[in-house]
Amino acid sequence: MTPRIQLEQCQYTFPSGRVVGPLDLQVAAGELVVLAGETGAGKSTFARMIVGLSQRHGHGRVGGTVRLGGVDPGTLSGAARVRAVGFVGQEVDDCVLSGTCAGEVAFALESAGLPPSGVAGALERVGLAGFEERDPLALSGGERQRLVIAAALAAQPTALVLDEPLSQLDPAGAQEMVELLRAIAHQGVAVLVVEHRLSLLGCADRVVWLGEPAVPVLPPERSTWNKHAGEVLRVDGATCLHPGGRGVQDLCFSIAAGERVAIVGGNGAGKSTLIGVLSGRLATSTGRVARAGRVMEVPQNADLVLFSDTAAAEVRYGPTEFGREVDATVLLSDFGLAGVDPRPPQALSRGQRLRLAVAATLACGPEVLVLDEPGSGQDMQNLHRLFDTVDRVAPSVVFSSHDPELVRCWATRVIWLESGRIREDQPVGESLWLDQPPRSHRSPMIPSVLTVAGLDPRLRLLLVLLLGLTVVLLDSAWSLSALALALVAAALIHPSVRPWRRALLLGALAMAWSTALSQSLFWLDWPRTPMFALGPLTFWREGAVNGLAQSTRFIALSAAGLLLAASTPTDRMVTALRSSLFGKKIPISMVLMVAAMVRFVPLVASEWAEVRGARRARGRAAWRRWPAAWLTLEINLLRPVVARCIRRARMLAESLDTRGFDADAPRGVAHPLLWRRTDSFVLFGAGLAVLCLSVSRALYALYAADIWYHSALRPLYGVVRAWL
Amino acid sequence: MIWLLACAAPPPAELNLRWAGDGIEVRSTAPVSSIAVLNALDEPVLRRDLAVPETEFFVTVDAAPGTLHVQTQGPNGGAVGELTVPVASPFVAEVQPAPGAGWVPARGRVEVPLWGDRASIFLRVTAGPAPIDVPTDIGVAHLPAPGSRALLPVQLSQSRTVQVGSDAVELVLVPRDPAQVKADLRLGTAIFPASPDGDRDLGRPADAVVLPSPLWESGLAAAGWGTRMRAAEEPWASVTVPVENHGAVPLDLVVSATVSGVDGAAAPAFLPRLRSADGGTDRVVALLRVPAGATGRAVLPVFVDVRTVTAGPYTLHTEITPLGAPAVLAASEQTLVVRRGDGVVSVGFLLTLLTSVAGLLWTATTLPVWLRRASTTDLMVNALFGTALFVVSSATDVLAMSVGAMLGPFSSLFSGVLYDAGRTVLLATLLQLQPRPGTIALSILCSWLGRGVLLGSIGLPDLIHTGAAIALGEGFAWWAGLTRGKPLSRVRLSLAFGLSTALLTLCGLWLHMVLYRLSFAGWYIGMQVGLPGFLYVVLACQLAVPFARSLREVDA
Repeated sequence: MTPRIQLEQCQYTFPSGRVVGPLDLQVAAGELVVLAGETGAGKSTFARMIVGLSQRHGHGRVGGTVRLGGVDPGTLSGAARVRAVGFVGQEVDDCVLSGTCAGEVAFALESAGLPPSGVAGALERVGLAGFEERDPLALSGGERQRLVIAAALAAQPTALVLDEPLSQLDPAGAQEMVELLRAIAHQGVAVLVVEHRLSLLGCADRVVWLGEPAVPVLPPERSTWNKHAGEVLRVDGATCLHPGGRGVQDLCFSIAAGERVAIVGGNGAGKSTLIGVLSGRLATSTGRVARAGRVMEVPQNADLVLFSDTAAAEVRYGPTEFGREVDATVLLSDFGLAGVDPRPPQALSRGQRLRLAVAATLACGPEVLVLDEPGSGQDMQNLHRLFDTVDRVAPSVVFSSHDPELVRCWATRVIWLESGRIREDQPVGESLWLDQPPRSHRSPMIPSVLTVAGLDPRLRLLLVLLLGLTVVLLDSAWSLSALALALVAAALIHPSVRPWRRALLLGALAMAWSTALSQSLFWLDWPRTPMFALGPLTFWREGAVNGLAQSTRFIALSAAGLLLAASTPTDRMVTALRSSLFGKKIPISMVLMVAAMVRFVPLVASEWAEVRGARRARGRAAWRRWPAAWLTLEINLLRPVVARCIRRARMLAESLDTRGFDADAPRGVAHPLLWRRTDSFVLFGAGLAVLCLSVSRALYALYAADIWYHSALRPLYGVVRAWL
Repeated sequence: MIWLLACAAPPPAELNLRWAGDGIEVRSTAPVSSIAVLNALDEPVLRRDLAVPETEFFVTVDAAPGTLHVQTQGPNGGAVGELTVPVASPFVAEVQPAPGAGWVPARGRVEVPLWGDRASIFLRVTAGPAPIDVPTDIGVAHLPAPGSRALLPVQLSQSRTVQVGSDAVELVLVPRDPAQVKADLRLGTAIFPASPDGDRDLGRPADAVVLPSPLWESGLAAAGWGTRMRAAEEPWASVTVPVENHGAVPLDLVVSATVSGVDGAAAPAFLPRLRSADGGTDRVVALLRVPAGATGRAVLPVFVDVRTVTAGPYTLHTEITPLGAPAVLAASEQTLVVRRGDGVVSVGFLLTLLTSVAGLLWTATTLPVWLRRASTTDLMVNALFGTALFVVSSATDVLAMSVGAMLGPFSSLFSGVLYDAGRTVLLATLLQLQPRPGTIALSILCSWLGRGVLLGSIGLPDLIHTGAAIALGEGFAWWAGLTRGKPLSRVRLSLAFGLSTALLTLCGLWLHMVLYRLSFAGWYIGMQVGLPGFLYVVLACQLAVPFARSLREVDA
């Protein structure tokens, strides 16, 4: 029987000349094989070669033979690809494009030309039955991982390749994932898992090592750790809850100098919130956090701390701001980064970026170093090296993790969080968490999208377009004001907008005020009455009135746009762009671009905020410097965000590619929109009204411009002047 | 519904015709622009087109006694009427009770207003079908030919009876106290612009003369377009002066109006064109009889020389004097402004539209090709740069709104620094990663659609702006070589981005001026184009090049 996955003397030559391989590997149907190896051994490269990504997107050279069901995966069309193999990349969050689970799973079905009825089956296969209309972003990490697997399995491929699927899961989630993979293999699928947490994959049929197994870096004996008497951090009844109700509540503990504290718990237990509270990034609603010295945090995504143009500058940034002396070269060497001084931080490898972020933070001389899940996406070898250095350099360390091995090796104390409260606070030797059997975790059923009711999204888009035309045609302050008031009122009573009511009203007022102010300055027409003068600038009353009147256009448009955006789920809007209207379709590539752009706005915004927060922790206030230096700094803060965008884009493109995306191939829509008769009536009515308005304005314009006049139309001219 | 109502036909006009000895006095409820008179056999006797549509006028008609049919045509439709020409008497004697007042038959009692110690009136005698000499108390009226007239001045210091031929007319002096009349008169707010029948012209803005730009007018004139192109003698509009008479006697008044500039002198552009009709003065005059306890409306033409009039404030002076005396009974002043369209903005708007259409057409024809050629990775990189651009622009929008509340139009000087810098470095990095034609267009288009999905910003002005941004951005990037394989340099980037952003800023301002009716001072436009539009972008380009190069390594 032909193996589903077959590699013979396979190797990959990077453009730099580095070669990984050769590798011989065969995975048969129903087999679960683990591909393990040290960082840089080429595990992910081989995974990409198996699904054809390296052949289609890589700049290097593929050597040897790669066969997928006997066929070269690089030559498969989109539809054939998606039936042959499913692929799950490292960063699942970056692979999810749709606003609903059903939409995510349907993508591969659309590529393969299969009916959307397969969506429910694919979700059920991974234990997500009933999740069709839920927002992938509202799922837990494990559920999201399952969703991506469901999307990869939607077209029922014969092989499944997963690149480090356990890296971001807590022990319970990881165990569930392993069980799921085992079940998938039992269904006859050839499963290849690239993973370094071998302890979790004991049920694998085979483990294939790339290169020689690495010698682990062992932690020092516990007796060498010094716990000093001084208290560096005290948390007293701290509560910090997020809008969804998650967070931490009523926490009380203290940390002594020299301690290494691990904060553990399942996904959503409140670990990251507690880390934020300790570092001061998040404010507590009740209770207080007393810090004896500087507490500095390295966020979960360490890339976001790296905003300088070279690694050396990155390490020097904090000390310079705080007036400290530091030898960047020595510190970089301590972290195993010798020789990277002149390189841009974002161009370093993943492990190097984490070490650089920790080095740059430690260079500021914190009393307590706080690390938020440093193990996320890192192999154990790298982590042990990092902790080895941190242990030697940092006075006190607090880190969050769900990796028992890491905790056991490097922590002296364990704080176990459950549902935002401390379940256990024990020395590591007495911790129950380390022996706790994994428990499954399910996210609460929060409806993530509003029910799509009422008008078709295409009609909504057209109505906003017509409204845009109307406010341009209208000239009467009263009519414009009435329109703006109606739209603002409609927007404000919409449930999605209600929480932002005050901000929106303030925005509208600011809009009106600033337009009035600007127009009062620029008013050229007569009559004009001076209100006040500031030096050579005179502000005219008539201009202010005109400005107020004109601002209603912007307010009306903004309110309509807001109403449209709030009342229509993004997914349906994107579907509206995909669906043909009047026989015209926007190309699917363009639609995917828009979907990607829209999908990642919250993530990119939060990342930008995170970069700014990290910068604040490492230096003076931004405004307390010369404008040029301030501007340079602000631009540099975009660097990690843009770097993340580039990486995320690649990940997303590969995800789309492995799900069979082909711009030229015909594609169906799994969730087509339904244009009803009422939609036609509404469009006809609105269109007719705008047509009458346009004709009236056009006739009036001809009259006003002395081009054409008819006495019979005088009443119409009057109506246009008085009301339009 | 409004439109249908507006198009409904007006009611038919009513004619009031009176034979005045040598012609017909016509009073119509609607303006009349032409009149035709036919005899009893329906043979044409007279046909005349009036220079200006009138509601009251006189036409001289040489007609034999008998029935005449009158047909009138006006802007609001036509009307018909008839009257009888009586058998001619040997002569007709009439009296004008005050200069400018209507002629009344010289028989019976005629009241003559006395504004001082004496009144000057005229006695007019008109010959019938044959020459005649008519003896009167004033003197003999020698009428040597049929229809000839004699005008005899009569000075009155007290009431008297004047014998004219066999008839006698009793001229009764009615003393008028100017102070009392002043107290009885109320001059209402003049209605401007008004139609010839005195109603407010709803089709035009009140108290203003709004004219297209001279460029537009000369263009129309050159093309010969425009059905409302006026003869020089035709008034631009009318002004209606309401006069209330609270006294017990009717008043015959002279209502005059003149327009002066800021220096107080009569504005040349507003001088009446009908010099012969208005005596070559700088004012237009109307006679008005206001019945006791009633309100009368004097409708005066307003002439505007559209070629020479300049925008600015003017003053409309209205004055009322009694008929036959120079005493001013009431006067008022009202601001009248002249506004002219801005030809530069019109041309700018047109250019913006053309640029936008060019950009959108170019995109529509080449977009499918770009999308086919681009790899999925390139598309996603472009999309996520759009995300970053959206985040940066949204943040700066919020900042601009906050700063704008304090600094108004100058907020962009502060928020623009961050916005331009952010936008420039992102686009420069994108061009560094994908130095091909279409990269900028795709990015702009994606951002526009994304803003539409997220904020509903998909209006017509957004579309026009997007098209212009594509055309300018792609055009200048190609011109500077950025999309033709030339390496990214500060000079090239500054030229491409600086010039395109400056022009796009100008286009944006023109769009706002035309579509949103906002005003911008010339210095402000220059400041916006020069500082945030060009200088900020050029400065941002200096930061963008090293930024883009460092991220090139990430991509590699």
